[in-house]
Amino acid sequence: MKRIVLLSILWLIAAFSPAQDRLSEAEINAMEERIKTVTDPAARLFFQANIYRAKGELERAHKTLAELIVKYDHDKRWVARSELLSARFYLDMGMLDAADVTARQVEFLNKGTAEAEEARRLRLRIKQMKEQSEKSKENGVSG
Amino acid sequence: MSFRRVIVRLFLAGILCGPAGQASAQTAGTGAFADISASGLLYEASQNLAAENYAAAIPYLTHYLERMEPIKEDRVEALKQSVRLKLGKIYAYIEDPFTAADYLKQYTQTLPCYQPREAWKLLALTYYESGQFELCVDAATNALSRPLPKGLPGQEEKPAYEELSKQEMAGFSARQMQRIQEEAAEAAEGSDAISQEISDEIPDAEPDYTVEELVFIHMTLAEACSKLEKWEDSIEPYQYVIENARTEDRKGYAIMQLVNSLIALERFDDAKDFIVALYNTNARYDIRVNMALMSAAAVLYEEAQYDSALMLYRMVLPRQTLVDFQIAKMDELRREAGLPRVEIQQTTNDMGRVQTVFGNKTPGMAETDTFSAGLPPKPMELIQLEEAVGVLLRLPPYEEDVLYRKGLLYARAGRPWEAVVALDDINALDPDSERGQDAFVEALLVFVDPLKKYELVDKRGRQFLNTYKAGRGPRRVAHALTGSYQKQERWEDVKKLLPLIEQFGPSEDPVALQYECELYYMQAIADVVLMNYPSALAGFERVLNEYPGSHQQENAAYWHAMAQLFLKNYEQAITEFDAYAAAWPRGSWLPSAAFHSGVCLFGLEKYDEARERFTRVIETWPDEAVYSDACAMRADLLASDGQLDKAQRDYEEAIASARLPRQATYAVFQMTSMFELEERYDDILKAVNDYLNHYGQEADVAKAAYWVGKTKLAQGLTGEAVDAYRDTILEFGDDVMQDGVDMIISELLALTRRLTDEEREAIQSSLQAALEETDSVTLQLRLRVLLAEMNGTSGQLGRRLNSELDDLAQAPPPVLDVICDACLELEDYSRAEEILTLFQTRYEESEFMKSALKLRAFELFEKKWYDAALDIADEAQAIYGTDVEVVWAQLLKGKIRLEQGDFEKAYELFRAVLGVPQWRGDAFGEATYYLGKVEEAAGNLRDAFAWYQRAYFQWKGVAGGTWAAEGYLASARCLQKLGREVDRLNTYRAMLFDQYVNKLPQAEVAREVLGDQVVQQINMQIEQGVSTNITVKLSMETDQ
Repeated sequence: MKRIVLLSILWLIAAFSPAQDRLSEAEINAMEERIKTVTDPAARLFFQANIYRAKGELERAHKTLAELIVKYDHDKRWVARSELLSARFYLDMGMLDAADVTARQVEFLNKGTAEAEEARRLRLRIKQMKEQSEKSKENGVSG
Repeated sequence: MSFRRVIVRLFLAGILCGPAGQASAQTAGTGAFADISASGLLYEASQNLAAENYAAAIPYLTHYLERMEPIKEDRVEALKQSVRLKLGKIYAYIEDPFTAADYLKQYTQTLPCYQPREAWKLLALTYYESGQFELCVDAATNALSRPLPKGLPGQEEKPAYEELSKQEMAGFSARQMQRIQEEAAEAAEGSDAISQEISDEIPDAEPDYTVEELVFIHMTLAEACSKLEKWEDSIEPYQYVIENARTEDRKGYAIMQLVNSLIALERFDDAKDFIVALYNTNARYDIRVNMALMSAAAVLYEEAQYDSALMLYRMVLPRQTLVDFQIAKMDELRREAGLPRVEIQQTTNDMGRVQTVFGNKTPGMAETDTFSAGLPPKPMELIQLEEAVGVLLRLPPYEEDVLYRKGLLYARAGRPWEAVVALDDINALDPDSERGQDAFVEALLVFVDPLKKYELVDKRGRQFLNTYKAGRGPRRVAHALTGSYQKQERWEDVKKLLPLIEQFGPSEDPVALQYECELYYMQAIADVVLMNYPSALAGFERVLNEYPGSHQQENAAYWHAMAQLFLKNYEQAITEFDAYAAAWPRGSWLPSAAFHSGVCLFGLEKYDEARERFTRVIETWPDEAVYSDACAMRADLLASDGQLDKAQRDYEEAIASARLPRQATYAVFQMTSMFELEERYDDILKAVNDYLNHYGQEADVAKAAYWVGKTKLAQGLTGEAVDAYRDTILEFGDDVMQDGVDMIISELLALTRRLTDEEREAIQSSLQAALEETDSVTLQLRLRVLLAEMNGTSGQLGRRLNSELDDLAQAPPPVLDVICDACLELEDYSRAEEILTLFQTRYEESEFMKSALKLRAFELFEKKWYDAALDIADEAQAIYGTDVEVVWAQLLKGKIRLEQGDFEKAYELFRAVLGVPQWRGDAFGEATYYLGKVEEAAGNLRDAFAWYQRAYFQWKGVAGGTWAAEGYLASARCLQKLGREVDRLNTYRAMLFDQYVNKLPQAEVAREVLGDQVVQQINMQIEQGVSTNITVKLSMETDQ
């Protein structure tokens, strides 16, 4: 039984890679069925957040993720990736500062890991976006 | 037992798990010591040491020292030193650090000193234990300097084997001899116990410290420095421990302590690096580390280091997690020691103290546990863990506090969704508690900013306020809601909170009162923004009276004075501004108070004093925001005084020093008005272009266009001016607040009267086309009024708009003006107050306010609210002076006095009308007539008759003959009262002959009185071209 659960989790992780944000309704339904087999509460929240995201319910997704981060912040298996996802959610909402703060903490607390590297790349992207935004504002005033 | 004490004992090599009290050696009574020889004392001491009966050895050793004190032989000195070192170790072992330190210190200061490293190490430890941290630092530093042994002068060295003869070496080689020595030494070193050997022999060279010992010494040094708050000095030793400690617990503890030192030094970035290191170790499971994390996190929070504080709080583990971790460790130790698994029981002893029992007997406790029988003793490490867990279980709950702090930190660090989840969790645990309510408020604030979930804020906030009416919570929530509404500029919604605020239960809590004061202050500010000045005045008064000495005292005092100014209570405002200056001689509003008191003086027409006041502001506060305003106001006064050059300089200074566009806007267009008087159109053009270039989109473009148009007109470029005006109306006319557009509308109307029909038609067509195209209600209204004025149908339009527009908020001043005119015609005063309020709050300086003032004044007159009507009339005259469009004010004042029976005053007022040349026309006719009415009411019939007669003689050509007609009738009335019936009839006859009045309704009275036959005759005579010279004279003529 444990093996089935583990395989399900791995399958879910694969399903929620960033490249596959857009899922069909059938796929989402399948996710929702499979999540019922996940007993780890932190894992459930993580996957539920991703399901909401796939449905386009960004705010609900973010709130679910926030619940994971707040309640299970000792669970190293899920915290770093959850926070990375949270940073991306903030970015999607246009909250660049919040995205940067979150990514910075991930980078800082997980030095030398893949998550830290991803956070670093995310922060670079945020920085570029901020610079672009500043330039647009300046052009708007002078133009 | 403390962690440190355990280390001490290990180093002192007295492991407690060995059976205590096995000492076979006996302690001699005090008197018996004198009977024991010196060697005997040492022998007895050795025996006790061998039996690990350390305390028992003390008296033998101390007696030895006393007895051998006077003897200074080398051998004895060496023995005494050995004894001193032993005593130092023993006293340290039995936890008497003071005595231990005395012996150890003496050891280090006396020769021979063969084991200085050991001694200094122990000395550092004992000084720490006894709280003598300065000495501890010295001792540890000495220990770390690796002191070398020191023998007595001339003392034999250890044998150099290479130099011994073969005989002396008894067949062994030098290497073999050395090895034998080493093996013997090793055998002696194998035991952790305090060695029983007390010898005078020179021991082998003291070995260097092991890594473990060095870690220990560094830790002791670091801890002592921390105790002394020598944070900088503690860093290096802590770093050594971190780099060299073998156990994660010790490493983690050292990291934690290093973090604390760095925080104390405000080296927050460095602290952050170590926090990360801590995050990745299992030291987080150390209870002391958890407690230290919370303390350090609290400090970082206070220092606004939210990132770092959050990381620390996130590392704090819930109690149960810590307990579970420690239980797992305890079970492992128990397994290794052959003990059963942990069973935690919490009991309450006779003293009411909760104790935690883990199963198995521990030293010092009563035999209460059945487990204790037949089981092996607990290892020291297990006992330590049990103690630590016991402490943890006795702690009051901290998890909620940590969660709350995390919520606040997520908010401060800028991670709003995490913040609201944490804070909502806290609130859910106990929504009625103070903590729960605080969490609710904090979450609400996050929803306002940065999440901007205003609808949710509204809903949650109001639900809360409907539930809770007392204490800090509702006040804070009301404050959060007010802030939310302010952000959205929903000032009316701010005002809607007032009834809720007034329902809060009384409180003595100073924080709650502070919030309450702030709430009422914010309510008054909302009133200012909404231009509800009487409420604002009352609001600030409330803050000053009900919250004396509050944090808003100064602000409320200033704004109370400003409200007086807005209400035109100039004298009172000046008094309050002066009082503010006296109470707060360095107050932040001082320059503004001085400036506005100048404005008040201006309002009171005390122009010289006003000028002095503005000059004082200019000279005293050249860098303040009001400097520009003061320059502009002084320029106005100089200009009105004819000092145009000085005025220009002040206007230019006002423009140059303007910090806000509105300051420059005012000065520029006042200056252009001044230039217009002198027809300096080039200067107007330059000033306006400079202004537009400087302020771009922030400039009042419409007003600028108005002046550019005026310049073009002056240059004869009428067509260009008209085009510019039209284009400006179409571009900016959708903004109800663009008063420049309204100025252009007035100007364009005046201009179109000078155009040819063709030109006028062309403009009308283009305006009509624009009207059909635009979606903007405001622009549509403006265009409709403009077109109606141009084709003479504004009266009709006014009536239509009056019924069309329920909400006048989108109606600009010209539109309100036509509505007022229509209402005046219909004598419909239902919207008089509404329209005037709109003007006074939004368009105070609009030229179109005259009709609104008139409508309101007439309404008040009709209601017989004479004082209020007089105020309005006075206000109109104050603003517009002798403008012909406000002559009604003078006439109304006369009528009011007449109604009030003040004939003298009424006479003066009507008489004054005749003295203003620009009022010649309808007003003269009306005034003349009313002079008659005044005299008639006063009983002076002949004088009345004379005024009435003048009305129909001189003013039949004005007002469509109305006053002449009324004059005829009134004359007839007077004649009737005077009993002059023939004259009366003649007056009626004259009226019917008078072509100015004979078609008016009033002429019907004459026809009725004279009868058909006479009327017919008169009509026939008129048809035949007969004119009349009927004149009625009375003996007394009035003075003209």
